[in-house]
Amino acid sequence: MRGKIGFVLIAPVLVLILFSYGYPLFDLIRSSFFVTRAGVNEYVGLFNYQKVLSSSIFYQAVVNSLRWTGLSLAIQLSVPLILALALNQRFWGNSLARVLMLVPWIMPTVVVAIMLRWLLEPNVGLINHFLRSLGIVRTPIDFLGSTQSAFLTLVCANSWQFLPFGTLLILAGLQTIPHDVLEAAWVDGAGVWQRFRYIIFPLLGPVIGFVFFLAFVWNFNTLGLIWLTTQGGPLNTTLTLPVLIYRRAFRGFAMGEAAAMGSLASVALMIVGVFYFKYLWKRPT
Amino acid sequence: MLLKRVWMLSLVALVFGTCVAFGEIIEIVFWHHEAPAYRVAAFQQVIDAFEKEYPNIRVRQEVVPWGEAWSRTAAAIRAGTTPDFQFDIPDLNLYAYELGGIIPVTELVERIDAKYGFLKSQLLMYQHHGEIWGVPIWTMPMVLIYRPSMLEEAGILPPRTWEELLEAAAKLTKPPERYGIMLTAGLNLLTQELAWCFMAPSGTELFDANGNVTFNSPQTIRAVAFYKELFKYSPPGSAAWIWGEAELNFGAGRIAMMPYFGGLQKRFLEDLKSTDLAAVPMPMPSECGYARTLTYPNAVHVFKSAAKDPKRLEAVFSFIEFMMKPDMNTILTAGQEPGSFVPLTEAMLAPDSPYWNHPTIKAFLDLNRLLVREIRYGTLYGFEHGVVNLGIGEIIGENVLGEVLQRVVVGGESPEAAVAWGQKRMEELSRPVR
Repeated sequence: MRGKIGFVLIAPVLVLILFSYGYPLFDLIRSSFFVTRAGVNEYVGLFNYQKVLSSSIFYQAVVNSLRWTGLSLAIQLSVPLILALALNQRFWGNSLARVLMLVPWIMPTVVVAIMLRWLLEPNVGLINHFLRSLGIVRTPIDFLGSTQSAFLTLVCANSWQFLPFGTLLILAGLQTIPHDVLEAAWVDGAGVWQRFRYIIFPLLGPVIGFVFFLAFVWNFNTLGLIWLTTQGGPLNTTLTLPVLIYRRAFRGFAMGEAAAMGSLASVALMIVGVFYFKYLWKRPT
Repeated sequence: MLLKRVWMLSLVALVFGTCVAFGEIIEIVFWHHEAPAYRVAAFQQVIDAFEKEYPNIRVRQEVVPWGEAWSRTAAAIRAGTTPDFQFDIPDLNLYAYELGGIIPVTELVERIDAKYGFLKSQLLMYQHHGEIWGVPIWTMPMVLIYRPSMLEEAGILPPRTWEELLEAAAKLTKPPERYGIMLTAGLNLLTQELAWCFMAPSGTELFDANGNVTFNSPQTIRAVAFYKELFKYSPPGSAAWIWGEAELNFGAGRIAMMPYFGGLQKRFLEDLKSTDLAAVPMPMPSECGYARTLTYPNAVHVFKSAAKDPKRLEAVFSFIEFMMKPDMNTILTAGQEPGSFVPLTEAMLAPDSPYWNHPTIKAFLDLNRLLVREIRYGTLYGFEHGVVNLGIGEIIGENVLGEVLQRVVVGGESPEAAVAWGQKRMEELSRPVR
């Protein structure tokens, strides 16, 4: 009876998910079997999938996506943890710091992208101006125009935007750790590192695991920042799978091909998600 | 009191709805992509004038930023929620055609042509399958704009050939304060347009008259090699620039010359209070060169949804025709972006046209006369013979020209290798119109 009541209570949400995710996913997969020309949808079977899977640029985009996600995760898990630990301490201005920390998160991606272009502009941008004034560089750095620096620059900018979210989640997790446990450890002579390693980090595990998965999916699907700054260039060094899908769908007239790539990416992410939550993620106790 | 107000409003809504239902007032909606407030105001000025002349038609403008135009168009056509018509450029027009969302406007174009006389070169980009699919409203020619004071100081005449251009760029470059030329190499529309400013005078054709890809040619390789050579005199980081960076740096005096639209005259006059801006036709190779440049016509396409009701369609056609009246077209061209949005009918270009009375046009009269002359030599990449290959939409959308230049300028590839890659990519996307 309790199970039935529970199901009834979540039924509206399930219906919403079905319509807002289920139907679009169904339509996406359906579109991947068609090619649209002059308004006529022509059924082509697996043609789009064959085209995608034999395209070197698709694999380049997948590799870039995995690199993008991996590097972003490294930053977006370590830095929020450090920030959350710092914000969990009592100090003057703690409340103000928590509020200011939200600024990157609430800024629209378009604003961040435009600001980035201007700040990093080699001739008139502030960043190069400071670097040259301080004598750190002699010639301006072309952050977004160089194949060596564009990728890392965008990873850092993207991670900067995500930091508040990860920090808040981990901070919330830190707040649930009982103080008396930490006090007892301190009384027993455990140092800062030992308290972190044997008490805080294990208890934070499920939260960090959850942040990991969210960050993985969100970073893998990043489009806005890349599209508004480099559009996947220079020379496809920042071309990730979402950027390639967008380019093929809305610049290349190839809706079917884009749908095929989208379907492959969606199914892959769903498999990763199911595997992760079934076998790797530890539910908080 | 509140109840009374609600009752009155309901009555007004009922009357209005009844009028609409009985066809007394027709409301038409269009999308355009000119987001700045002064451009929206210019459109509203035309709308207000139209509604005075046609009191039974209401016109509503909706701004869709250029970056969203393709995705919004696709979504609207699929969902059946399109406006009545939309402003476009040739590849967006093709995109909407491919999605099966628009109707031919041949009859309307012929009607307007009879009255005002279209420049035929600007219709080519919208003609295929025996019909015309867009009504050009204005066009955008590129010329070589420059700062006369800088050239005078260096004792240089404005260049007319590639050789003179290279020499001038070298002499004018005094890093880090000033650079002789501005060129880009990003995956964006600006780079494609700049590429064409050199490829067209060199004699490049993306397709032959049968729609076969002919990009890989000695003319193209020559143009790309020259672009690479000239790029040495462009500011550091300009490879990744788009419009804003180019205009800011030119206005700030960091750049002496650049292939561009003539639209900076508004900023020079109103913000910089300066007339230190002039232009010459795009330079060409001194051997086997062509007096050609880029022109980018902006047109209007009509969605199928508007054609479901003949009265509605006639209202749409009436408004489009109204926009081509010289006084109205002057608002949409000189009133929005003098020098960038240039008229493309004989009536507008005639000496007695109201276009020439606009203050900014008058302040830069020589520049604007040049822009008007250059339209007649203007072509658009992939449309040299009209619409002969439907793949041009994808080629533009995928920034193939931009990537060719990026491979050379940023990637260090040879012009031959980059152009060969461009040919191969275009062949992959090619769909000749048969």
